[in-house]
Amino acid sequence: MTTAAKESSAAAPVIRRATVRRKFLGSAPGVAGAIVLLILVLVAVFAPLIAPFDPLERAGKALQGPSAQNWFGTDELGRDLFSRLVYGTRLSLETAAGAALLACAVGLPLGVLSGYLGGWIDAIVMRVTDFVLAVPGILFALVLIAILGSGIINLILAIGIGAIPAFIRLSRASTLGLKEREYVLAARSMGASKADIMARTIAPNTMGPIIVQIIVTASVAILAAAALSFIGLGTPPPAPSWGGMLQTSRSFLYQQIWYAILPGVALAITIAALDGVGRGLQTALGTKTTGRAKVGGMG
Amino acid sequence: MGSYVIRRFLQFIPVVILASIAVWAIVYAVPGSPAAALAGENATPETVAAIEERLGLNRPVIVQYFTWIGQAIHLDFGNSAINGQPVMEQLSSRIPASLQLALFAMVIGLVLAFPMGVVAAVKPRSIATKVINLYQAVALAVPTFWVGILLIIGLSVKNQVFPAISNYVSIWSDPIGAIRNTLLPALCLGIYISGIIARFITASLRDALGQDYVRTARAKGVPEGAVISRHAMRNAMLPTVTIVGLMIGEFLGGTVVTEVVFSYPGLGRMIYSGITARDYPIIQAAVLFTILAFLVINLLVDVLYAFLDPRVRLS
Repeated sequence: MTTAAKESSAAAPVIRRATVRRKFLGSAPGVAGAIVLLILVLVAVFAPLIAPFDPLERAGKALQGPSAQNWFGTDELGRDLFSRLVYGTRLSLETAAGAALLACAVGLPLGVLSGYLGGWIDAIVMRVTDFVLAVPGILFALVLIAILGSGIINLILAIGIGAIPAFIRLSRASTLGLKEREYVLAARSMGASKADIMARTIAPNTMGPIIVQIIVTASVAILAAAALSFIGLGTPPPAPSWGGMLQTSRSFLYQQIWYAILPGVALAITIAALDGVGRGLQTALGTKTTGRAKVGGMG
Repeated sequence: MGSYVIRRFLQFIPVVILASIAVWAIVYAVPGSPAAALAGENATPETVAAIEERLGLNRPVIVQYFTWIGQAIHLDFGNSAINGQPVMEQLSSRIPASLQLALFAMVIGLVLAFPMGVVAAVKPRSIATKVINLYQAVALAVPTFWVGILLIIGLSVKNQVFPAISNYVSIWSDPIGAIRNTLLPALCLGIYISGIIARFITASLRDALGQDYVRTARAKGVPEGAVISRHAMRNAMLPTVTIVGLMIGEFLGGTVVTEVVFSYPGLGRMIYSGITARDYPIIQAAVLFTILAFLVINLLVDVLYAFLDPRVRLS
């Protein structure tokens, strides 16, 4: 019986993994999103090789339109816009990855703990979660930044902490469903400790919706970071953040229109790519809803 | 039904208490003493000492909290640290402005989303649906504040059709002025949420169209239009009502960036100004109102949902 239990729990993920890959590759938004995202990651990683100029140094006359030397033109300090956009990709993806991984690293264990143990731990975790979800995402980050001060680390913290509840809810819901499954009962009857069951048997099986949520959180984080930088409370200048660039561009709408357009296009492409990957994963993993994602881009 | 409402209400109370503690603690969480924070950056030590005395900051923390919450219940949030005006005055002028923006945005969102959601559900393989999917992906991907800049470039700077700085004009006193001032920010928010709402309508309508009662209705020979509008649509609207309610709750205070772009005098910009000026009574009052509004709307939506769908209250 124990071998049977082991086999069924070990066999299931293998079969699933192949189907997931096949289904993901069959989803047009998924594949397109993944390709664009891969390109963006490469741009971020190899930014110093791709950008022709230093993003913080003067590279020509101020507020010039696109030319052979400055492909996207220059900003008010004569810095090369293309190079700043390239480095901005790095900044955006760092923030996104940081916030999503932070939220997952805290939310997943808390949700499994809350769902598996129940009782007062569950009650406390759920009420705190309800409270955080009651604060509009952008507002939560705004107040945290008011307390912590600005800067990229604080930006990641502020956005990441606000995204924790969605992970708690998702992993808690999966845990409640998995708790009474045969392989969990089998593990328990074999004398596995609670910690062992939670870490080795339950947590890995909640990963489907969690992966989708990581992608959703990443895109929300990019929008939130841009929004906060746009109102001057995110990444401080002279860092080449897309939101910060859009903010300064507003004073030069007549002189250099590309300045106000290209950072927005970069943002939109990145968000659309993540959205595509998210939808592809949803199709592939068969997860229907991703919990209530905080609507950070809304504000 | 009664027991569901009571159960839901009992969950609501601890969250409200938690929220009030968190909002009260904002002042204590900032570096430096809360009196210094309340006094503002250019305050003399005497002012700080006076504030400490007045607020009773030497008393036990628990007493301080109850004093604050006691005043807050009587709608007294103290005076602004910047201009000395009662915070409540500002709050009560911002609430209708935010509400009007939220409702405008929601109307735009629903008008855009409804036809798209239905077409995508009924004709999933048509070209129209492909276009709709593309629109939704774009609507969700472009940041609202960037749409704001583009709208200002196109309609305010070049053509001056709409003011680039939006004031609050009540729809009751001057409908045309209200539309001119509220349309652009509402359009930014409306376009964004139309993508989300349309996806919701599509998903729930598709789900409803696959149910047994729809098959039965079709088998009886009910025309397809009536099947959709009378049978499937009613059930599909439930989740949509929920998301619309939650979004209005989120809009009250959650539209900070859009309000900043258009200089719209709503709750979001009140909080933003409070944060940049370190005016803590302003931040506390506006944030507490925002959270309470969201929680109350949430509660009402849940109760309404339970009223409309017996399965919810029995589970």
